[in-house]
Amino acid sequence: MKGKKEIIEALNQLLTAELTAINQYYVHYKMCENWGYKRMAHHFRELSMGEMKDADEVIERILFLEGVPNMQRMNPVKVGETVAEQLQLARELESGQVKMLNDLVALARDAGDNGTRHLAEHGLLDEERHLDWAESQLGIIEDVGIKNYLAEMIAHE
Amino acid sequence: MIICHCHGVSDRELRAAARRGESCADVARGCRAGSACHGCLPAVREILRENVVRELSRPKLEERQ
Repeated sequence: MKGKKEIIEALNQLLTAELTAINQYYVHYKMCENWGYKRMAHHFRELSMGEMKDADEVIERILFLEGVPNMQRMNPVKVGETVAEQLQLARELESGQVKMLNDLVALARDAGDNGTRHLAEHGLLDEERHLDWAESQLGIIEDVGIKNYLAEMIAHE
Repeated sequence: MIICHCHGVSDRELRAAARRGESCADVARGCRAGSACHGCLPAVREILRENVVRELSRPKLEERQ
């Protein structure tokens, strides 16, 4: 099915964000594992895999609309040097994705492409959940202090 | 945050370079950020520019008195 050019471009922008997120979460996962924060590493690994599944759906949609998925383009991968900084960067990344997906919902609705709108809405709920998680973690750090927080992140349940 | 992945240069190192008044070329010669794949050049430029803007927006000594 031939898709509209602006929808394919917007989906490719979303794909760029997803590919960036996969790498950002993945390097944070490996860093936390190296530091011994196994529980934190597990969270970042799950997030990275989640973004990969999202990218999978976006690529499928672009191909369905007879577009070319751009696998080369990527935004700068922001690597945090501490767990707290990694969480701040996760919050930044997710809030960017939430905005992008809200814009895509509006664009797809106006273009009458309800399949893409459905995909964007589904992704939006996931990213909102991730954003909420990052915000909660930063809130907990503020409440209990970074040392107490990190102590909880050592053992993997 | 690591800005230059090729040479492992952090934003803190770049802000320190910016405070010393270094340009992109100075940074490329010094800590080498932005001198390999050039992927981080926009981010390096932004950090160096941020510092210039901050310096220019600071009131001069005579204006402060």
